[in-house]
Formats: sequence, structure tokens, C-alpha cells
Amino acid sequence: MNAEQIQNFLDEIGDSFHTLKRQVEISVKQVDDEGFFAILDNGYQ
Amino acid sequence: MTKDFLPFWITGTNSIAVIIKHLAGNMISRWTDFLTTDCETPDRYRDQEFILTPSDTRQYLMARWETGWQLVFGAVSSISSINFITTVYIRGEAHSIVRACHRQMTHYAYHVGQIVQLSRYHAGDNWKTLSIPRGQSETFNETLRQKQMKRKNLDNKG
Repeated sequence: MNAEQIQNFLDEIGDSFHTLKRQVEISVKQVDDEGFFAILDNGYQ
Repeated sequence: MTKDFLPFWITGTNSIAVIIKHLAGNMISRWTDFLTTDCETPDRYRDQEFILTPSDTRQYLMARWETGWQLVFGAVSSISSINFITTVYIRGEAHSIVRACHRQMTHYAYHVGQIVQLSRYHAGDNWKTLSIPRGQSETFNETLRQKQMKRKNLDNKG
């Protein structure tokens, strides 16, 4: 990869990491503390 | 979906809090001095990331989450064409920088999906989707098409 291709890769990987971070932050804002700490378990093993 | 009807595959899962704690721990380990030291740092206790302690408040966990991401972004921005050929080590296993980034990306995406799914469940009817709402794909596509046409017309005029 040349310098431009490397920079493009880094920009794209950075954007994707930002997207993942944002997806979580938007999601957990919609959850109260009970949900944030809850472990789902209906007794089925 | 009520708790009684949870399918077997969703039961006994980690909480959102635990997944956040695990991801933060992973990021802090993986991206601290990642070009020069093994990305599994000696001070990481991975198993502890799956156990919540009284000090693991929501505020504390989200602060750790932020710390982890700042390390990710800082590390990515420290890469350049000069150090791009550096071999990175994760638990002694050699990685190119591209491979190491992909490894982390897929790992994070896996857990992010879990968090989004759990959040959706806990938010219930108040959930606001992160992408195109169900049944509205065509409307969304049409809106995009119109925006693109508008932009194209403006470009042609310019």
C-alpha cells in the first residue's frame, strides 16, 4: 500500500470504530439502570 | 416479548454492563503501546471483566468505555506510512496492522450487536431503531434517491 492507500484505510477503519461506539451509546441511552445491569435468565439451561 | 418467552439462546447472557466492562478492558489492553508491546498487557485480568463489583457503577463503566475508545482512536491516529509495516503482537501471535485492526473490529462489532439487541429488549416499546425502521425501507430509499437527484441537479447547474 502506498501512503495514500494507508491513510484511506486508517480513515475508514477510524470511521467504522466511531460508528460502533455511537451505536452502543445511542442504544444504552434508551435503557434504564435496571436494564443496564440485568442478566436475562428464564431458568432454561 | 416477555421474560417467560425468552428463547433459550438469549438466556443466561452477559448484561450490558458486563459487555461494556469487557470491551473497555479489551481496548485498554489492546491499544496501550500497541506498536511496541504485546497487546495482551500483563496487568489485564480478563476473567474479572465478566464480574461486576460494587465500584462498577454505570457512570464508572461508561467512563472506562470512553477511556478505551480514546486509546483506540489515539492508536489509529498514531499509525502512518512510516510505522505501518510494524508487526503487532497479541498474546505472542504476530499480526500485521491491517489484521490487528480487523481482528479488533470484528470482535467489537460482535459485542456491539449483543449490546444493541439487549438494549432493544430492555427499552421495550420505547426503543428507537438505529437504522431504517421496519417497513420503511422503500420510503427511505426514495428519500435518498430524491436527495441524490437534487444534488446532481445542483452539480449540473454549478
